[in-house]
Amino acid sequence: MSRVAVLFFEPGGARAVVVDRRFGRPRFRALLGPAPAAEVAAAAAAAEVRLALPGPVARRVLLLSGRPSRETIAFEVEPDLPWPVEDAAVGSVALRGGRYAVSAGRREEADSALAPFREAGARAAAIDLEAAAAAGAARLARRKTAAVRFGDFAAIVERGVTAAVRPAPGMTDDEAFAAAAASAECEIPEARIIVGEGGLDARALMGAPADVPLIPLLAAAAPADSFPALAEAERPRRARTVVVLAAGAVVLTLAAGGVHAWAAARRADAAKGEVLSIYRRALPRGRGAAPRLELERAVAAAEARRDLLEGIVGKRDSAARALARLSAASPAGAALRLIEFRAEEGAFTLVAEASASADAAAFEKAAAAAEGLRDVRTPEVRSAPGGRGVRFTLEGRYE
Amino acid sequence: MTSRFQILLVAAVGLGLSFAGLEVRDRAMRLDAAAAASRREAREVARLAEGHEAVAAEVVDLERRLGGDSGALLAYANDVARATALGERLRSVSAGGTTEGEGRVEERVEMEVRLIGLKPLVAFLEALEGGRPNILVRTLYLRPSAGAPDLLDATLTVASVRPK
Repeated sequence: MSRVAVLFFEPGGARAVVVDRRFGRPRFRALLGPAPAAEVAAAAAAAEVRLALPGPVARRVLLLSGRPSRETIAFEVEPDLPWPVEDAAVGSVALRGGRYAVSAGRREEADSALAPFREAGARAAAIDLEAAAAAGAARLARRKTAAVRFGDFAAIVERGVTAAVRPAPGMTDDEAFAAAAASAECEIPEARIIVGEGGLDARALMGAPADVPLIPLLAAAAPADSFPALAEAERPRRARTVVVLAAGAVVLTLAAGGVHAWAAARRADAAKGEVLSIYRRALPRGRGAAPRLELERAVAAAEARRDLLEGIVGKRDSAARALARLSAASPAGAALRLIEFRAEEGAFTLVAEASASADAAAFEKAAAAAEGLRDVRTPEVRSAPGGRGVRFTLEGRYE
Repeated sequence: MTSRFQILLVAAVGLGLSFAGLEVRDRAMRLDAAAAASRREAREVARLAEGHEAVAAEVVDLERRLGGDSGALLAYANDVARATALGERLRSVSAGGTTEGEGRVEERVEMEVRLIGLKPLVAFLEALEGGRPNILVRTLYLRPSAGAPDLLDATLTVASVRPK
């Protein structure tokens, strides 16, 4: 939240309009003074003074109005301005882009604004310009109906038009007015204004410190959006803030993105380096265009050589080993007579005679179960020459 | 600077940052994907390299075992025959030539043994192959001995295998 004050210096004192800015919306807080300038300045010290109108130019707040194209704080100008006082009774400050300009209007304009008060019978001295300010503020509130009390007068504002003005002392006697006022709830966010004797504690309503002198008029009536000029006064700061935030966001985003991308690139490079390192270790002769293929070929070649060497050392395809295994598979007690045995290129053929075919079968079974022999079969069993026993042929492969 | 311009500025900056952020994110995702692929490849290559190292070590070990054998096969066969007391039963030992193929060189010896029983023959063959790790009985032909059917005549080819 930021707090903004506009100081208006007067002869012998000053006023300050204090506006809080929350979540980007200006919200009227208090009108301080009239009081000695030092006190006003001290009271507004916590706020950031955005606009100070020097005494020779402005004397007091006259009217607050707002239009999209021309936000204006109107004030009553000093009578010693270099133009006829009669024609320069009303001045305004237009705020555009952080600059302000002073212009002046004719007295007739103020007179027309004050006409309802005059028509209500208000004494000339009582037609305080604050009344006009109240009416303007209520109008700006764009409420359907608002009741505003100011000093000795009260006003009912309907649909932005001052509908009735009554002297406050007689207000309670005017039942119709009082009823209308009582039913007219001002929908101004910070105050619910009920016309009547006593009224509400403006300090409490405005949340101002108890020792701060408040002017009931504006304290009760001003909605937040009746100070567009103050909001406008903050725009240069907001613009700078926007630019700074945007630039900061750009820098931070680019920095974060850069760091993120850099970290990702580092991770990718590290992973790639790890792969290259492995290739360098695994391929002593250097990495070629297709290192993985080279490595796979190297592995395949090494495996082939290992298999070759293992085959040699392991006596693979040993005919002697096949004979030993067949010899070991010979059934105990069976009389086998070898007729012929041939083993080469991993295959063997055995022709033998047994006293019974059962012995031949047992031999085949034992040979088939022997380690290193496979595909064992007996393709031929026939009677042995001479009729004694059987002659059989045993075939198979060995490893 | 008007509010509208500020809004446009913020919107433009936000849009630009969004695009930049998306681009950075895409780039980072591509890099992360590349890194993940590299790590995956590194794991696979490391596995391959470990396998290669293991196999190479086995090859070195096997070559060391085979490399210790030297000397003429013919003399070796005669030595084994003497050691197993074949005596007169060893009829002949002759060189069978040398062949090459599939990463190895084989030197061969033809042997003929007569009038030998099955068990002594098996013992002789085991002595032949067991004396050196690279000795192999390539072929073996047995038949009953003429005049002594309980004994065998054997013709065998012994090979000494060396890796190329």
